[in-house]
Amino acid sequence: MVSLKKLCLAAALIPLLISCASQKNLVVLLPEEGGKAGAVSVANKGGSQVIDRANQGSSIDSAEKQPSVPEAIDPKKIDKIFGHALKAQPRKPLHFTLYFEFNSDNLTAESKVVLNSLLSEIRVFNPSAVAIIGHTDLVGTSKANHELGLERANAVGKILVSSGVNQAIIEVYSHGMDNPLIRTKGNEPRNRRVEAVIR
Amino acid sequence: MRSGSLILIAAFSLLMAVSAGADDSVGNVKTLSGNVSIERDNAIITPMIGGKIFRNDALKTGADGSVGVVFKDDTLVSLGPDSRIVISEFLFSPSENKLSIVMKMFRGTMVYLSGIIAKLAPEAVRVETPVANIGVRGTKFAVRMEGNDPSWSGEQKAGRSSSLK
Repeated sequence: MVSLKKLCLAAALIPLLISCASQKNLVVLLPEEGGKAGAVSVANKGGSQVIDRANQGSSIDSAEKQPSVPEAIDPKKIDKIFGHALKAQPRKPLHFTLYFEFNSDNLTAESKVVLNSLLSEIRVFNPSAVAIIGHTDLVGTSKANHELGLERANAVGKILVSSGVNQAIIEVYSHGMDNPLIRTKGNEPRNRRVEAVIR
Repeated sequence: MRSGSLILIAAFSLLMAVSAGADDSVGNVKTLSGNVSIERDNAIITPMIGGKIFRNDALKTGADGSVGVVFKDDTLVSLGPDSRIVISEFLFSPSENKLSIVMKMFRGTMVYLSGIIAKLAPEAVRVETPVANIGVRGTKFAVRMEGNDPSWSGEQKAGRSSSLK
């Protein structure tokens, strides 16, 4: 029986498509919902690789040796190696978006419906935290918008508390104008929102 | 209860308005199975579902353990058995231009689903391991580390991660 090492040495002379890196240190790109995949880079003193296709992986033998060229990995093998970690993956946080009537602390009619869904989900899911994040459009200064976002987030926080949500799990933030929904300067109403995140 | 105490409690509640804002936790434990521990400030803590996670926490699983954590920016990290990671950095404050998430993975298996920090500042997202740095652009990936280098303190000896275009 030819040892893997001998096979690897032979492969250096013969262009065989054998991966000679063991996979004890392995980075695998996984598909997301919908099957798409992003990308990761794997880099050390020896060099780097970019993995940009789902179910491909790169092995790294040592900190000095360049990571291996990405290659396809059998999904069954991925499941075998990472099964426990995959099963332990938490549910994604749920996001709800609320809008206010122009220049007012009242929610729009549609947002009142969203608020009811939010409250109902909180009751069912019993979350560890409810984060409320105020956002603004891109008009004005970052500082002023940070404060405006905080005001709006606090207003929603008070609504949740008075609707019976445990204050201890509520976290209030403002992202001001720095995390817009629609990346456009100026008066974009869809950016003027309060986000509630249940996790 | 005496009315004086009630007034005091009411006043205190008003002061503890919702604008108390956030504490400095970075996320919560959401799934737990088997032997799992958190090392924090030289103490070993047994986590509970819903429990908070802080920067510099070390998450560790035993031979039968697994754990899943959700971060404040929606990043999901889960560990399989015999794993150890440290949460080196977590900053999620876009208005103050503070965005970063860095994990050190010493050993075991991890599945990582990136969140909003990776969308806003992908260059600020990194997983450091004894043999390589992993750079992330909005994505889901898994890492296995043998972790047999006891001299790796988590300090970066390897080269800088290349940036993803």
